[in-house]
Amino acid sequence: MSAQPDTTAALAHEPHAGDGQVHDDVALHLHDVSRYYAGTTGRGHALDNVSLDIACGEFVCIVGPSGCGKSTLLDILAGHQQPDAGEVLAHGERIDGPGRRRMVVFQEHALFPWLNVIENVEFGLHRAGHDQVTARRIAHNWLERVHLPDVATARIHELSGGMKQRVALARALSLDPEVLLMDEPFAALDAQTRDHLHAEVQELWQDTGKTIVFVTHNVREAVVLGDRVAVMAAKPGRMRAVVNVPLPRTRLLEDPEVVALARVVGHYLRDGAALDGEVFDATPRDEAAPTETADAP
Amino acid sequence: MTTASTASTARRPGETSGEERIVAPRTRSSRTVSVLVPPLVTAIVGLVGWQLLASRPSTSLTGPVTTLRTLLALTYNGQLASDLGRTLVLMGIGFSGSAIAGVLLGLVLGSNSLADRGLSPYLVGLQSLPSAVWIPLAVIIGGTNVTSVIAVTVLGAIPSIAIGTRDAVHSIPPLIIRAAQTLGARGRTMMTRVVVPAALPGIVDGLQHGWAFAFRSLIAAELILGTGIGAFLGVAKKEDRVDKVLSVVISVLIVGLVVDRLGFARIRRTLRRRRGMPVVGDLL
Repeated sequence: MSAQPDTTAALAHEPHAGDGQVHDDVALHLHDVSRYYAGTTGRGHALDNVSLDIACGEFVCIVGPSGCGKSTLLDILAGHQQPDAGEVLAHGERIDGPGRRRMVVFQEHALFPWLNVIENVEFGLHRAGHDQVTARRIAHNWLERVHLPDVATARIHELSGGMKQRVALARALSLDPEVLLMDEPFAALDAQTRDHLHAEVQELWQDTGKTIVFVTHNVREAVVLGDRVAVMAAKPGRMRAVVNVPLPRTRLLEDPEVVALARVVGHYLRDGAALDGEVFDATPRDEAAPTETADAP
Repeated sequence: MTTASTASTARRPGETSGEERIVAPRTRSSRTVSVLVPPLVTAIVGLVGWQLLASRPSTSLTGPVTTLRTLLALTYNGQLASDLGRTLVLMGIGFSGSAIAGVLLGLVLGSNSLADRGLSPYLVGLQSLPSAVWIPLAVIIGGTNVTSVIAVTVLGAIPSIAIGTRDAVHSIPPLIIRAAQTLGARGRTMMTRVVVPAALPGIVDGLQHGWAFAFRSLIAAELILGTGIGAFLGVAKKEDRVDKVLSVVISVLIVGLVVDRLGFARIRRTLRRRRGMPVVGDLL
């Protein structure tokens, strides 16, 4: 990964990695990003001056109530939507459309039902210019890494929800993206399957060193997975706080530290800054969020 | 419920999921009986009714036995087969033309909203236009020949194929398209590797409707222009041979049914099964 001196320099005065986690490069840079939507009651703010920096190799979870714009934010990072205002950079370059460097794992139903499992994984590899032999080898390798070596020729509808999301993970990771964007990927799964996948995603992240942005409405899931948890608020969609999660991995949903920190994040989620001073073993990062008293444009 | 005793045997040994069938399936033979008996009863009632109608003293309607005998005779001497064969050749040409044009047009409408807004309202209107109204126009412009017949066939089927394809493209989940974009599909690759395969079940549905429209248009044109089976019908009408006319009705019905059931319905079922889509509405 090449260093981007200009963005790193720009970050020096940003209250970024003050938590001891030193990252030498910024993977994703959001600055004063706004996005409007045309609703029945007129123009609304989907995102209001959202700023966030995500370091290379960092695992950041975004939590927020429905309608807070967290999926919009992910769409913008993926390049499926353009912000109406503000700056969005991936590795120092402006994001101007979807691409292989930032892969998205969607909630569900994004696998191609007309292809079997391994053909789904091969799809992107073919588009990237790999020949059939290479594509098959890489696809097999990734199916093994997500513990699905035996279902290569199965049809998609024959898989359970958890297996589908593993295939989606393999499909995304096989292209060796710099960033993995995950949009509530485990929301529709049962608790047990979700536990398994939480462990697997943490392992994959530690093995591959990918930058991961993980959107969820589940606070505990966010604390289990994230290095940091960005808490968003709705109407307008804005960044409320960024909470560090200095807990050792691999974490589990029922770890007491996870539960306790989730409670803290939950308070932020419900009521912004009211909790200042009684934060559990984590540095609240209010200063990273735009102040809520900022003038509306 | 009397199904309790069969419930344990109903589960296939290879079934992996823990899904229990709530209603135990009936045995194969009892299902065959329940599928076959109602249409058989209808057939018997129909044949008896037909015989009763035909045995009135004043009628020129021939009964089922006479008609069947004529049908068999016409089949054996090859007359019906050669006329029907000519009709089917025209059908093949006309349907292929409308399938290619209709699917291409539908793909354009499905992926270009400007073309869609400009053209689709008219296509929907044309869908309900009886294609027989094209016949006089085709005759005046093209003359009384097979080209006119084919033109009417194509015109009759294009709207429903195009609209069916367009609807199929529109009903592709946006997530599929976005996932494909992320994976690097663009332009023509997006069309051939994503849009067409994703919309294929819907496109086949559109082609199935298109086939029915094409067949109706073709028979109407042949009746008026006197080609293929239409010529045969013209002669039968002049000769006042109700049995011959009815033989044609039956053979056309059988051809239509065979193509629909053995052709389209099978492709449709295979496509939908492979994708785990529900297969509904198939009787045969």
